[in-house]
Amino acid sequence: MPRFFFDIDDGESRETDGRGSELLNAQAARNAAIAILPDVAREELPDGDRRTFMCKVRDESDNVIFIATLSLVAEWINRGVSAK
Amino acid sequence: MIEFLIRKLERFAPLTAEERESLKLLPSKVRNFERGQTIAQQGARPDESAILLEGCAFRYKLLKEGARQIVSVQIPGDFVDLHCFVLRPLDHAVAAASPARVGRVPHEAIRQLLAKHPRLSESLMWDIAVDGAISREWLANQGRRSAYEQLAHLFCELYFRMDWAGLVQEQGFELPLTQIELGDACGLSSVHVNRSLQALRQDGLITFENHRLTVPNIEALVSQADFDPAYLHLLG
Repeated sequence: MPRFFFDIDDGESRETDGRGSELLNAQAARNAAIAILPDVAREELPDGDRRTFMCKVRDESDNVIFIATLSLVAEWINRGVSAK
Repeated sequence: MIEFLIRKLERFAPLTAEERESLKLLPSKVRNFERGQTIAQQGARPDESAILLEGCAFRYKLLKEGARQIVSVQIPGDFVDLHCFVLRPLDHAVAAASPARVGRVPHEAIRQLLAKHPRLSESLMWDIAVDGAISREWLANQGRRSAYEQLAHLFCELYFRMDWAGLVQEQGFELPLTQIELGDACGLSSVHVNRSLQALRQDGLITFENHRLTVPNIEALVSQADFDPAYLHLLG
């Protein structure tokens, strides 16, 4: 099975995947990239009101073949003061 | 080796020489399994139980569309399905995670053992109860901990169990589970497992190469995992 590398940027730090995961094909890598984002977000939230989580998929030749992003936009309504 | 079972049962209560000899005679025949082979089928009604003598195995359930949940990991000295002595059909399957040697123990032999040594019924009841305690810990682990903590916790559990069996050498042991199997044991995708393993490595808590897990500082891993070995009931 081909190996794909999943670099994750949670808006605060970037992780480069040095080992990769074996997956059936590019479609499976796409699905895995999308599926990892809510998992990452679940562990990071609720810190911050604006967060973007990104997963970049590289193939064995180091070509970026897919990028998925997941955004959180959270704001208070009619509170008149900063959430801080 | 059956000695692993004897050593484990003695964590609960010391055994007499006669009880130990009778336990040694329990496995009627020994079978070898390849990695990935099924040791017991879900839904089967076996009239014997299996004890892992060498290697690693896991219990699992198959869900729809081929999804799999690993519900426990067995190491040498563990019965993989002692409960099928009273619980049939088997509500899970068992597979070998590495080349494995498995002793088959006919239920009739267990009946004769308990008739001869009634005290051993408490020991075997203890063994099944510890299995239940481990399952409860896995439930809490998967329900409430991050991927990083879950893997750290699983590694702590296996480290302590292997250590008590005398199978930890140079702060490490054979761990044949793949990234996918670790994911199936923790309810995580293999990509998420990969990411969390990388973080555990970067934090200096583990090395995991060629199916060998090394823990340079078990106290540090225990602390990260929020691990308390009391649920293993192996402290004697």
